[in-house]
Amino acid sequence: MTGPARLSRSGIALALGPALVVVGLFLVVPLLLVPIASFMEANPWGGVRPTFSVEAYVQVLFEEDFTGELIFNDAYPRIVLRSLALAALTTALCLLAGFPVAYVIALQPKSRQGILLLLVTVPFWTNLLIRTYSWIMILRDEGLINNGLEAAGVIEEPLRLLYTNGAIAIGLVYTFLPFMVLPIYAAIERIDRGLIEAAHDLYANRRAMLRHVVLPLARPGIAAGAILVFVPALGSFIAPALLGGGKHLMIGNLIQAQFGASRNWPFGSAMSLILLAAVLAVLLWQAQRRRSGAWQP
Amino acid sequence: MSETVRMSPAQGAAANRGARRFAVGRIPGFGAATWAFFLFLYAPIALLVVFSFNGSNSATIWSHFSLDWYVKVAANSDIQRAALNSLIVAGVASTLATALATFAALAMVRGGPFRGQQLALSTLLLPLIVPEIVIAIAMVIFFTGIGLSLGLGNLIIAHTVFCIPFAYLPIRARLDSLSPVYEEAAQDLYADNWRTFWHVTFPLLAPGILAGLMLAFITSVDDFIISLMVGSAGTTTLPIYIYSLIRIGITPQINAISTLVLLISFIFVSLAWLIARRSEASP
Amino acid sequence: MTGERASPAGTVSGAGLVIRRVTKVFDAAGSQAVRAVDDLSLEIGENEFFTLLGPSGCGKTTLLRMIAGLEQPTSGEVLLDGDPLQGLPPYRRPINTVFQSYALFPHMSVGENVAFGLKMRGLDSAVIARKVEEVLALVRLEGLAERRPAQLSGGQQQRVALARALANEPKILLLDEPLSALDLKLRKQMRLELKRLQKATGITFIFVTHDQEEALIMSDRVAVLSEGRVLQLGPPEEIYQRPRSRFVADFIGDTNIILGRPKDAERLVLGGTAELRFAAPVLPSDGQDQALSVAIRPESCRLVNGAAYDDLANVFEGRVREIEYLGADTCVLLDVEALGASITVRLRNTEGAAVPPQEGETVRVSLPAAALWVLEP
Repeated sequence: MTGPARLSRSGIALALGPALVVVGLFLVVPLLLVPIASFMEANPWGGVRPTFSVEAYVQVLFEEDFTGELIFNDAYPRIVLRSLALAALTTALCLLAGFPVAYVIALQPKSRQGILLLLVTVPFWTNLLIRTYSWIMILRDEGLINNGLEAAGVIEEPLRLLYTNGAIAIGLVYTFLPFMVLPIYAAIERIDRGLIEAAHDLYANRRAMLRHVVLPLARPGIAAGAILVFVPALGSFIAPALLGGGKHLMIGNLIQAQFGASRNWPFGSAMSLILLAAVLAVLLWQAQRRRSGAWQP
Repeated sequence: MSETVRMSPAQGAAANRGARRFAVGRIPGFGAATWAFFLFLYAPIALLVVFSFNGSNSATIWSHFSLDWYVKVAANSDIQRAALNSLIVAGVASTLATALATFAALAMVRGGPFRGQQLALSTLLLPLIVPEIVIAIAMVIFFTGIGLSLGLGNLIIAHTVFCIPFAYLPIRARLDSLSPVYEEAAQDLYADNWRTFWHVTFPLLAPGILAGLMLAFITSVDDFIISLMVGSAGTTTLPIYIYSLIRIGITPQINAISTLVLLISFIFVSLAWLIARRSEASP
Repeated sequence: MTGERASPAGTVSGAGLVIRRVTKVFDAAGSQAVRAVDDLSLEIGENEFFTLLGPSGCGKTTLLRMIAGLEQPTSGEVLLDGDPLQGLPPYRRPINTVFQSYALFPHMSVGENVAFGLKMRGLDSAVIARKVEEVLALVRLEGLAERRPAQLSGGQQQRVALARALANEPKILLLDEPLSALDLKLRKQMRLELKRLQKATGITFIFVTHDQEEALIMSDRVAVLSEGRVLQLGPPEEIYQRPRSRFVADFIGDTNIILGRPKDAERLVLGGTAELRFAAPVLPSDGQDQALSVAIRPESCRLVNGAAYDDLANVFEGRVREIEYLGADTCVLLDVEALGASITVRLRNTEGAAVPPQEGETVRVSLPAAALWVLEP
């Protein structure tokens, strides 16, 4: 569309400039400092010393023993792997729980869809910390589940539920479920109901209809949902901090600790780059698939 | 031909029963899964609210109804200071972010295709792509590096940056769905560029701007990790205060604070929903 | 800005709208550039109901938008009363538009919509109020000023759009397919209404449509457009009765087309020995080997029995292939061997009219010489 609704070149610069300057100066520039900081020496009081060093990257895989020898240390790789595994598990659980809901909502009458979607999103609008805290009340030794089971006489000793990988996974699923439901809903909602009727008309039972009609057409939504859940889950901090206790860390907690009590900014920066690389790899992979048409209906 | 299709009355009745049971699109089990889903979503929140009224010191064993914890919260000046900090930061940051995002969206949509548009969009949405913890440490390095320590000011800068995409997306969506024909009509009716914006574009865009503002505000109030790391001694926001309480020990006081925060969120969301519905009714 | 008409109505040179050799090229990214309007020239007089008629994509809307100032011509110029409009933004042109989608501001009442242009021009609020009332009365929407556009029917919205444009007393009113969103009955009613408004206000209307019936009913003059060019320009009767080219003949009404070669100035040879006589020497005398297309409207053809007829009746035998009953009329499709073509004959179904023939029957068809005309190659 041309015509007067179109802004002039200087108009574009004037309108777009301030936002770009703010994001550029206060996010792009800081992000560019992260790799620089990762190649410096740690200052024991916090911050960095402007001396070139690869110590931070050595530390990812090795530690020094008493004699100064480098020996392999699997503590940090394990945290990275745990983070990847928990993020993947969260994504799978969200898909499993979210797909039926998205499907049911999408096939409701239009008037009812609005209120149901609101119900899905309300928790997303409420404070994440509070939502995670509510699971402590349920999972801890004197929590709702253990108390209930003890009262029913099923168990005598409380089960260890809190401070486990499972607790973190529940917390993450609880946090990110709406991100899975919404894009799948949007994809299914676009499907012409006539297609479902046509599938039944052509002898598909419900399962075959789901598999051959709804699922393929909902794939862009599923892909979008998976990305929206996996990426933030990978870098999450609150769920592992509150539900994983001190022992079950994820990358986010590790990075935070380097800028807090551990005072090792270069190592924290190096771990941040590893996290960023993982996120970018996932995003690029998905963009690649989309470009090759694999996700297109 | 027609004989083969004709059914006996008994067969017909059976087919009718089948037809009544078969609803197109209904999948057995999906309904139950949906109920379970909403139970999973709301039971923890409901539980949290219930125990905020617990008379005893326990957040999990019910004794009797009481408002003691709310009285304690009301008397706690630390909470009030934290809440005030949260409101200041969210109020200023979301307003700034929405103003920046509104003009950016106008440039992106009404600017037509221009060179560097894709790069500009990626930059605007960058805070959504980069993990929060990475944004947090990058800003810590940056602020320390240039020696900027403005207290709440640092927090406001940080929040403005990550609120921009949250404000941008609803405004952009509204603008995309807004046909340029209204602006053309205004120009046809003797309105110059500025008056076209003021009398036509802006009022029609208002629901999107309001939605963007609310989303940015909620995102800012909700933020924890960036506030934790960028903040300094005097800049404790509500989430950080709640976090420190949880670290100390679980008491119904946390439930009471949480319930108050939830209540405000619910009011906020309902309002946003009603406004959205009204503006849908008159596009 | 408006209202001051220096030159009297008529065809005084320079008065009215002049479009001189205007071309508009759209650069579509990645694909070939589109020539929406191609070296087009037109003169539209004052107080005229002028219609741009053509299929979608013929450039008529682009031309309209260039007159309004919503698009800039790639080359050529548009003049109003002798003054070039070049470079004037839409809000400085004494020209208003009724948009296809009406473009009524949804956040304003009907009254505010109608007042918008007047307000933008800085008129006194008392003047505006009076004018709004007057124009709403003109389009017969008294008492609806407080309503929102969404509360009105399609026909009412259309009238508001008209009122909003007319309130400014523009020199030219542009109408971009304004009736296309209405149902048939309302459309027919609005055609008369538009014609009435044009006569009542004395404003030049430039009306864009792809509906030939609309164009014929309302216009003083019609320009038929195709691929960004004017194919034919003239009053509706001329366009309908003597379309110059095959495209215009096909686009406006149904036409029978017969191919042949001229024998002399009054006779056309068709295939073998059959001849088609003309009432006047209209055929080109030179280039006798050139194939020509001759046209005749279905309603001009007649079915004749054994009755006497002369040479000018051009009677041939044909076999009925199809009968189409249309209510008021019946169309008979004939295969006429002598013409090497199919001929459609349109018969009126008046009381006591002859019973139409049956399919497969052989009948005699007359193509009266006076109703034949030659199409441009």
